[in-house]
This record gives sequence, structure tokens and C-alpha cells, in this order.
Amino acid sequence: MSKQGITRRQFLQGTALAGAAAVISGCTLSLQKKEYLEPYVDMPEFALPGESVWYATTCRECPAACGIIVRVHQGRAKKVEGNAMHPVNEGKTCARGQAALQALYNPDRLRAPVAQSARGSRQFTSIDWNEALNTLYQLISETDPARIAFFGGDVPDHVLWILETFFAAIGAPPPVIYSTHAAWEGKRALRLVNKSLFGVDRLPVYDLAHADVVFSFSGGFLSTELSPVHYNLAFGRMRGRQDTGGPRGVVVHFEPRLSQTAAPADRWIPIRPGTEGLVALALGRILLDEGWARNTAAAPFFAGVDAKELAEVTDVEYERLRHLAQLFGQAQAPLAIPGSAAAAHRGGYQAVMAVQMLNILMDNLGKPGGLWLAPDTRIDGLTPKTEPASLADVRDLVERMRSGQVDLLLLDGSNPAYGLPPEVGFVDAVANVGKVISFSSFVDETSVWADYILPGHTPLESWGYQVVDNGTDRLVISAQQPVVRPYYDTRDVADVFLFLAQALEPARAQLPWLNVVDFLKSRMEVIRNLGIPGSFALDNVEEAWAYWLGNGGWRSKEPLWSAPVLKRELSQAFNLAPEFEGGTEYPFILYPYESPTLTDGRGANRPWLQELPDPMTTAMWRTWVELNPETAYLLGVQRDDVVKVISPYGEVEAIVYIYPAIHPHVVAMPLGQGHTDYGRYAQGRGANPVQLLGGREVDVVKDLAWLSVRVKIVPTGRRQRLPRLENNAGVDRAREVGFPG
Amino acid sequence: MDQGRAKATRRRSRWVLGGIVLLLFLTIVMVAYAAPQTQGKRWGKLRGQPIAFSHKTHADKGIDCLYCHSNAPRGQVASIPSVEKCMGCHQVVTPRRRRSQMEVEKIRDAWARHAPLRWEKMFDQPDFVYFSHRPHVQAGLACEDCHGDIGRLDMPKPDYSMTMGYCLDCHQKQAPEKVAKLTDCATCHK
Repeated sequence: MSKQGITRRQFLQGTALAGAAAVISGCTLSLQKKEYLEPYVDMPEFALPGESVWYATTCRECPAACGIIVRVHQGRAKKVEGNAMHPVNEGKTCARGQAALQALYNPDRLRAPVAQSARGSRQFTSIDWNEALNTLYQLISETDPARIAFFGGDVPDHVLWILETFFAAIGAPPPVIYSTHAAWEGKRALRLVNKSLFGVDRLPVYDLAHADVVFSFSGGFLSTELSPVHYNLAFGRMRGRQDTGGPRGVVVHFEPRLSQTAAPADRWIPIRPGTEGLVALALGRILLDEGWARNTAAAPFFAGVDAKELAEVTDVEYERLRHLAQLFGQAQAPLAIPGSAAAAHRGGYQAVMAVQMLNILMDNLGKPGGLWLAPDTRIDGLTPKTEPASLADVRDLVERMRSGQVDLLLLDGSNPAYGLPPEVGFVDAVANVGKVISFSSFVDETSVWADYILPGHTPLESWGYQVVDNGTDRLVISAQQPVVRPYYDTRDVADVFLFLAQALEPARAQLPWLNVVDFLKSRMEVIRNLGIPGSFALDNVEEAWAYWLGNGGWRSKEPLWSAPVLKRELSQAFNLAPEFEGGTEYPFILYPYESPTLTDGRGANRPWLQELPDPMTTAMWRTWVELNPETAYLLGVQRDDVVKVISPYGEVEAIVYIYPAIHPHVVAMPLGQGHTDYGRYAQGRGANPVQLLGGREVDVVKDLAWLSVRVKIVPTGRRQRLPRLENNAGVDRAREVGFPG
Repeated sequence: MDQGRAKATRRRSRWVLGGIVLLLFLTIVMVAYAAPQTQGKRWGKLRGQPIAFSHKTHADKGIDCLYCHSNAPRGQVASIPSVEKCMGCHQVVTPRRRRSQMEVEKIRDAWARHAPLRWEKMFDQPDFVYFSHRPHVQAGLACEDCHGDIGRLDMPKPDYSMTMGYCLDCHQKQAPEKVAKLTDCATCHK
């Protein structure tokens, strides 16, 4: 034992004592830990401190109108879940719905009305609502009504109805409603084809859950199109039938790129872009020739079709097509689903028709697992009479703006400066408009050109309703209610126009309601007058109102979808082939697609959506360009190289992502990034592929033909790591197969 | 060798003694720190409370506990009343004593500014305990059964006696068919 220093035993004793002292002091001190309680200043009725309250409302992140319930704790919205009572989504939600909270809490929200010193200057001065409403009132009352224009996007039905009534009353042209998301999902083509074939202007509903062989043509029905949550549920049911001894549904997906919808399919058939209609034609011809068709009413459409010739054009071998036709033709409940890319080129209208013809050939109209027509959603007093505009209508408005025929432009729910190709000329035309007023909650690429921005509430703070136009067999009027009190000095757009109507004599009689709640309560009678047995009785307004808010809206008891009936003689198909702009110097076809998270760009200011990996590439936060490994090899580029994507209309920069599951002649880019405004999370990040598009329109449909340009790829010599979840080698496993990188 | 061992023993004793002295010192510091908050008499002047509120004054007027803590029969927490609830009476009721008037002025000021009052919590359970007032109040317990005779105090003392044993004492005395559930770990430690 050493005489100097501390022995091991002493050291341990000392440590034990110090430890005991620390524990005792820690225990004593922890009793001193203070907690504070901050009760409400003015407690809302029905609030239960310490316990969450769930409010039923409608998701406004896309037009599908899923029912959601939002958990609210002490006046703060915390979590979005699906409303189990809602026929569209039956308790489920998607990532975009979950991120609705980040619109509410977004730090870049406008917190009060603002005036901009010069358009595009981004120099905003806050004004109060009295001044804002006075300005709006003066502008509307002093402007010649014929020279007022309203441009809207995905505006909820109640606002549209109020706007339409308001503008009709003051003698102004009806609002121009154009949703870029609707253009990307090919909604207009679907409606017009139904109108032409079946005589009704309604969207199709596919009974996916009961189908056993599904042919899907470049569709994103599991990611962004129509009613994705509903179709995901139906897809699960179709597959899940095998658990109860039924047949497992089979899905065959035709698309140039392995998309989110293609990935879970049993077979993915890579085709040349824009040849969906031609594939459908060839399949139909084989079905007829082999005697597998069950209804030959559609036979004239397929007259003169040579399936073998088409097999070459579409890049699918004839034998394979024949085998697929046999699978389809011998199925009990076959179903063909036309997707957005089928409708996105010059011949898109006929291409969608060709796919629907397969349904007619297989005689599945109005049958379990077949094609149905959505319930009629044109209801007097609830939905607007104005048709959604086509790109051609938007061009008319832009032309009026450019030639100085518009003195007052009102904007809500759309971002045309970002979402429309530059060739349409929206931004240039705004310069010739007298005054521009936006109701946007954010300073985006369009509202930055406004003289005044009078911010509306975000959807979780708003009242309203949406009549569901597809994705369910019932008639659903989905209710929207504020789940929290408005956080900032914003105002419901519906309230603004009801307020103005009180001051403007001709509109007062049409819109006598003082606020949006009075208006919504008055709609209970309109729904009652439909005479349709529904989810609750509507005799007593107050009682109905309680159910309306509690259930998240009203729905019919019985299915109201209808079986399509072919209304006309069919003639031979024509003009189905795609046409691409750009000569031989542009070797690749550009295949832009809506990001499953950011969609048409509206999700870019939600960081949850930015950081959510893309389902196919696991990439996030940036814009990438997907190249087949073979294409990348020939171009001499590797993953993470920055390249210029150049079309006849413009150029953007993107990071190379090597993707083996894409046709070698095609390069794909996701939409959603490339914002120059729209808040800190969105702007200055990635590129906007819309810049590469011309303003080409789909025949008959007159909507944006977004699959119609060729591009070339030019390396810049720079590299940038693409943030992604997968490992560095990527799904291509480039090193293993010997390609560079 | 013996001498060396004796030295070592003395050295060790010194270490142990030093440790005990340190422990005593720390304990005294702790007690001194805690003392003013656990044994003071004028609870209304407690550091951290925004208003020198007296439960006794209000209980003496015959106001029921549940009038202010209205959430207790229906919710997890009993809830501190909102400023609006205080103003329900105090927009017309002004106390006689000057000092009390000043306290009421603080409420009126908070109401005018629409500013919440921040109260220091006096009764608490750790985060791993799930406690709800609702079943207790609905089972007929009086507030005083757990919180002591608050109605005779100005401000309640922070109570550290609400331990697991305290809960189980009562839970074990309940009707035999309820005891199993009431003494089950997962009933409170969900």
C-alpha cells in the first residue's frame, strides 16, 4: 500500500459518498422543479383542458375532397387523420393531407392584408382590413363590370358558387376556373370523353375493388390522380380478396417509366411515350379478332386497325400484346383505366376514348369491377354552373389582359405564373391590367404581381363544402369547418364577397347572407330539397347543422353512381398518335410527371413533403432528371452530374438520376420545385420543368398537352449530390453492371 | 508496518469524515434552499404566482370548488379558471381591502390586454403516471380528500405526499370487485 496518494478503496469510498450526495441533492432539487399552467384567457365553449378535441372537416390539399378529422389540443391543431365515416377515404389520408398543418403554421404566411409599392418589387406594406375592403369595394364598384376578371384554381365549391352569383349579379363575366393539377391529371379529357360516348359530363369511377384484371394506361391513380386515397384503398381490397379465398386481382401497367402506380403492378410494360391509345387499339383489335370481346358495339372504332403494325410503333411485341389481350379477354371482371399521360399529347382525347372502348368491348359498364359514372354533382344552389376552363379559355383571358381589356384582375387558389408554360404569357399580360388583387395566403409567383394581397384563411381555418366529383358511389357533400380560430388577421374569401354583396345593390338580393356560416346553414334546405335519403335528416336546420359538422358533411344513403350507356354510333378512331415538338437535335422525349408529394408545386412550401423521399427514386429537396443507364452511358454522364435539359422553349438545370426503369428514349422529371417565390422552403430549390413546355393543346380537349416536347441533355461539368434515402450506388447498382459512376 | 497501517486507517477515517461533512453540508444547503417555499405562511406572495389569490376568501363566500375548477368532473385535469371566468364576478365585485383591490386590478388588466395568467403548478404527478380527475370526482371523492383543507388556506401548499402508496392506500380499500383493476400497474402506468 502506498503511503502517498489515494488507494483504490479510498477512491471508491469517496466516489460512493459523492454519488450519494449527488443523488440526494438531485432528488431534493427535482422536487423544486417548477411547472407552470397557462389557462385560457377566454375559454372556448366545449373545450376540455388537457384533452384533445377532434373536428371533422375536408382536406383541401387536392380536389379529391377526402374527409379528415383534426386533433386539436388547447386550441392548436396537432394531427390530421382520415374520417372513417367519409365514403371517399374511409378513415385514411395521404402524406399531402397530413402536411395540411404546415400550411396553417407556415412561417411565410401573410399575416395581414398588404399593398405592394410596385408589382414584383416584393416591397409590401401592411394595411388594415377596413382599408383593404374599401379599396376592393371602390375598385369593383368603379370598374366597368365587363372589364373585371376573376382567375381561380382549386377553389372550393361554396366560394365558387358565391363568386359566380356575385359576378352574375354585378354583370361581370363568370370566373375563369383553371386548375393546373386538373390539367396534369387529364380530368377534362376524361369528362369530355364521357360526354361524347355516354352523353353525360361527369367523371368516371372505376370499381377497382371488384375488378380481377386491370389494365392501367400511364395512370397515377395510386399517387396523384383523381382520388388517390380512394383508389389505394380499392387496390388493397382487390389484392386482399385472396385472403378470403377470392381471386387476387392482377394489374398490368403500360407506361414509359416505372411510376408509383406501375411499381405495385404485376406487370409493367414499358411503351413509347404517348402510345397508350395505340396499345389500346391493338388490344381491342385482337380482342375482336379472337372473339374475346363481349360487346361488339365498339367494333367500328377498331376498323382498319392493324395490331401487328401498332405493336412495332408502341415497342411491345405482338405476341406479348396477344397474350395480354387473352388475359384481359378471359377475365371475369376486366377493367381498363386511362391515365393522365394518355391524355397529355395532341391525340390524347382519342387515346382516352380508345382505352374506354376496351371497357365497352368487355361489357363492364355499370357492372361490379367495371366502369361507372360519378353521381351528378351539378346541383342548383350548391355547385357552380360555370364549366372549368380549358387552356384555350385561359389564353382568351390572357389575350384580354394583354390587350388592356381587363381593368381589375382578381386571383385566388391558383398560381398560373408558375404552373403554366411561359409561352402562354400570363406574366407579360399582367403588366397591362389596371389593378390586380390576390387572395393568396402566400406570396407566390403569381401574387407577387398583385397590387394588393388580401390573404384568405388557410383551409384548416375555413368554412365551406366540396361536392365530391369522383371516387365514390355516393353523392357526398363534404363539409369544411375551421378546426382552430384563425391565427392571423386573415379573412375568408367567401366572407369578403358576402360583405361586398351587402354594399353592392345588385348583388345584395342574390347574396343576402351576412357571413359564410349563415350561407352554409341556408344550404341545408337546398340539400333537403334534393329529396334524396341521406345520412341524416334535414328537417330542422339547427339539428342538421350539428350532424353536418359532426359527421363532416352529408352523403346519400344509397349509391347514386350510374351505369354508362353508349349513346352514339361509333366511327373509326383517328389521330391517336402523339406528336412531339423539336427536331432531330432534340433526341429525347421529355416525360414530366406530378411529384407524388409536391404535386403541381403547391406542396413545395411544406418541409414535411420536401423531405419525404420520392417513392421510386427516394430523392428529395431537389429536381432530378431520370436517365436510363444506357442513355447516361452514351451521354457520358454519371449520377449526380448537373446537366442542362434544353427544349425548343427553354432550359433548366437538373441533377442526373440513373434510373433503369425508364424507356431509353425518354427522360423524366418531377414537377414541384423551381419556385422563385412561395416561401423559404420552396424558393431557390431545383427547377420547374413547365419552363420547358410549349403551350401545345390536346385536340378537342383544348387543355395543356404536357407530353409533347423533345429535349436534349447537355452536361455542365458540375456535380451536386442529390439528397436521397437509398445508398449511394442507387437502384441502378451502376458499379455492378459496369456502367461508369 | 503497524505504524504504516495505523496511518492508513487514520487517512481513511479522514476521507470518510470529509465525505460525511460534505454530505451534511449539501443537505443543509438543500434544506435551506427548499425551506422558504415549503414552510412559509403567506402563500399568496409565493414567487411565481401572478396574483395573491386566496382560496379561503373565495371558499368562505360559499363558492364551490367546481365552479372555478369546472373541468374536474369531466376531464383529466381540474383546470385553472380562465381570465374570463374570474372577470365573470370581478367585473362587478371589488374587494374592500386596498391590497386585495390591487390583486383584482391585475386580473382586469390581464383581461384588457387579453393576456393569459401564468400560474405555478402546486399539485403534480410525474409524467409516467396517468391520472384523471374524472373517475375520482365521479366516484364521489371530495376535493379535500386528496388536496387537504384548501378552503381554509390562502394558497395550497405544494404537496409531495401524493405518492403511489398514497394512491394504493385508498385503492385497496375499495369494493372487492374493483380492487384488482384499481391495483393493476397498467391502470395508472399506461
